Amino acid sequence: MTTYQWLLGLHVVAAFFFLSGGVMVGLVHATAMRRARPSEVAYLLGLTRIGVVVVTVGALGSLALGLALVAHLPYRSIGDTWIAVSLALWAASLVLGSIGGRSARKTRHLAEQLARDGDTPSPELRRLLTDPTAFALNFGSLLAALVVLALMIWKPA
Amino acid sequence: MRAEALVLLHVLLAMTLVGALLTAAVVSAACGRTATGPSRRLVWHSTLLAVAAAFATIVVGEATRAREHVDGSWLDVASGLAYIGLLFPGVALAVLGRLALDRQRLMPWITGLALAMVAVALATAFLMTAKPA
Repeated sequence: MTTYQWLLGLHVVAAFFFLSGGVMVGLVHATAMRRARPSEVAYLLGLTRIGVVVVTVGALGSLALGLALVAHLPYRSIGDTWIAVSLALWAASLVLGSIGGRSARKTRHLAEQLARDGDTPSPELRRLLTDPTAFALNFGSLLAALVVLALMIWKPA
Repeated sequence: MRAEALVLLHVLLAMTLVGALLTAAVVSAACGRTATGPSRRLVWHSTLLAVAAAFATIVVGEATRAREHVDGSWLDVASGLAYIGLLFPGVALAVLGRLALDRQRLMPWITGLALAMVAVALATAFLMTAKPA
């Protein structure tokens, strides 16, 4: 196996962590949205933290290995349009996901507080769980990551 | 459909598969002895999504292979891994996920099987990309 094959294979494995971690966070969050009891919401949102760790490891790994690939190949450069656009979208995906993640953290803290104070459903918790701004930020983050993936496959000039 | 679109769909389905497996593994591990109803149902639904995604990934992969006339030992090994290490265990995982709705003691088996399948899926992705001789 050549260095190129190792770098490319590991780059794709890291990309799997990045996007699959996002799938996991989405599945667990969607389940939490359908629950009313704060203790259940807090428990489920607590599990999303593991998904966030997987996403972070994948994002950083895919970036490092992607840059190593560009450095390894003489005919590729960070200035290539599709690579530059991919880097910008990768950063946008992380920034949007990070801002959207703050809302999820605030929701989890409220759910934990409510669980300690009687564990009764709260309109405020429901509002935070279904916050359209947080949804838009997380959806934007996912969309940016999907466009990066498409660019990696198409490699347009 | 263009070859690149088929490859993108194939990769997206595979990433959904790994995401569903990670969900099943993490939630079943977290369940322990005090699993709530929603988390048990989440494990069951994740295993169902995993088996559906495994089936769809293989179907789209075979369609791409037939269309592009791709061949090579790396592809044979990766296909074998996908069938033996993902599709058949995926069915077993879904059966376990359904049984675990009433039997808490099955959760560690789901965790172990789902993590093993994640390893197989990532190894398959590595082979499909690196294409070793």
